[in-house]
Amino acid sequence: MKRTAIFLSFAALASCALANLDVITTTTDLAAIAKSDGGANVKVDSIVKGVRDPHFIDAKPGDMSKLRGADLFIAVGLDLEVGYEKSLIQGSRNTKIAIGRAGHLYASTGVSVLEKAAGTVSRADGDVHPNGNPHYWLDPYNARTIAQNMAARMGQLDPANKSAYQARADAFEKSVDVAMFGAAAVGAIGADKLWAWSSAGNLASQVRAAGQPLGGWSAKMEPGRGKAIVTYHKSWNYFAKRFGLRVVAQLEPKPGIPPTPGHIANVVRTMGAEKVGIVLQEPFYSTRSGQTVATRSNAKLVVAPLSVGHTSAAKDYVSLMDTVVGLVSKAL
Amino acid sequence: MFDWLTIQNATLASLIMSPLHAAFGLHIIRRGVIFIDLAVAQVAALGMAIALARGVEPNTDQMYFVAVASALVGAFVVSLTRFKLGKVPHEAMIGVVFVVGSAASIIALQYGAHGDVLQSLLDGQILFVSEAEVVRDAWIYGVMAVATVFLWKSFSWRTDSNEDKGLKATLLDFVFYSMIGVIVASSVQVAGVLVVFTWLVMPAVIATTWTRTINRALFVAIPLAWIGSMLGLYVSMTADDSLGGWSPGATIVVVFGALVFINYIVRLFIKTPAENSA
Repeated sequence: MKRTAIFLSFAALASCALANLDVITTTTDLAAIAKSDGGANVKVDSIVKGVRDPHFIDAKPGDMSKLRGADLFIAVGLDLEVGYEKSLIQGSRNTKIAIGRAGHLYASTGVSVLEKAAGTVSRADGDVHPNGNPHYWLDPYNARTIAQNMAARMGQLDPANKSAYQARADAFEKSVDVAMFGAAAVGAIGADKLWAWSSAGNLASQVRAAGQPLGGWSAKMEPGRGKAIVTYHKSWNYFAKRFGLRVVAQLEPKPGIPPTPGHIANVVRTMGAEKVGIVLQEPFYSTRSGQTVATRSNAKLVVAPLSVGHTSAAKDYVSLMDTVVGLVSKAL
Repeated sequence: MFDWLTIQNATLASLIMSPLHAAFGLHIIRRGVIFIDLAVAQVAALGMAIALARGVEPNTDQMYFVAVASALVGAFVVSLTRFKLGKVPHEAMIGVVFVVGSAASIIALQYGAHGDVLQSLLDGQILFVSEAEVVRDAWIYGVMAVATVFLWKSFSWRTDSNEDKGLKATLLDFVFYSMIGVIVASSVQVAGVLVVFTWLVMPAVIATTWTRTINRALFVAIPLAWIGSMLGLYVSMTADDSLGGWSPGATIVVVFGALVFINYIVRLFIKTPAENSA
């Protein structure tokens, strides 16, 4: 018995030694992409688990000890984790992952940020992120950027496997491209051109002009282009922009502030004027306000996963987007 | 800005729920077990947190059943702890049940999907009560009101003979706490812990300062429960348009609080006819 235990602990040590980098991310989405980039060369875990609001965590002792041995800490950035990031890093007493060191990475580097605040922002404006909206991972283009950022940093920390990280990040990009536009369009036209058209908002007509079939998420979301939606928090703005949806109101009167009666009355009026068909919300807020507003406006309430692991179907980045696109496109 | 449709269901729910709270509150104040509802509500919340962790969806009939069943367990625990142990007051045991219930809910919610539930049990969701819930609550509170009418005299006897430890008294206690359990399990999901405490205690406090018998106090407490709730909802809707109004549950509590303080000041200077003749 004792011998088995000793053998098992050696086996555990050996399997640790196989992974060159110990990576801890804040969210499950980052963990999924880090796993995809790192393969067998990294060991990945996330701080936020389950269906939780990523703005807050209740820090547990285990989080600190996880971070103590980490080689690389990856955060979403743009102040999403502002409430806990510094205390986690300090509490871990791991100088390798201090902000600004090579062991610390904001995945947002190079993302074109929406809603950057002009002038000064105060707490009175609610839970506003002065550096811009941090929910950028639901635009598939930004997921490519995240994967490239991670691969570059992993290669810097573990130069021997640099090319392996890069190759996996490129494969991830490819899988996102195919899921976004369909294999036929990607093969015939090339991903760069397709993304440029998608950003310009004329993807469908350009692809048709090129005589190719449009597939994937873009094709599913195309019929909904231009339609107005209401969301609970500003979590869906990047997703909406990518697929041409107009977010005309949030159920929150200000970010992080729960719905108030006067604001709800305004939202219902806006929904009537804009003919809003769906209320889209994150799974970690109460659905009562969304249900009430949707019922009054003859709209549908769609509760969609915001992150990997929010539903059992959302296992990795591509299946997360599959789920979100499936739910939203069906309801639009 | 005022919009009736937005607060219609909240208004109906308050009209249905608040009077029964106020009636039980009169007994609670006389018995000196002010925080009993918080303890029972917290045990209900703990049951809901455990149910959430096991995959029961919030706002379903199943969850409602869990809340009522756990509240009954809470009521049973509280009525057991009324036997005085040495110099430990009953209120201390009620406090223990409340705090342990809260802490255990925090741990239970670590296993569940909906971390916000604890917060919404405090604030309540009175603005977003559905019509179906209003109808369900009307039935439950109707049945409870009829039962209360029949049991009122017995409850009053029990309240006035607090030291009685006989079988009848113990049984009546259990019935009394169980009814509070059912009442609170329904209202806490809709109105939140703070509003439930307010409905139970604040109208009863004001009424008790002016009346000598519990029956007379009832006729003051029930209209007060209605007026305070309506006023609270109105203020919540019309206050500070830039914020879209104030959080409804919190506003109801603050408005009732203001009524209690104003009444306190007025009561210091005005005597009742009985006091004048004395």
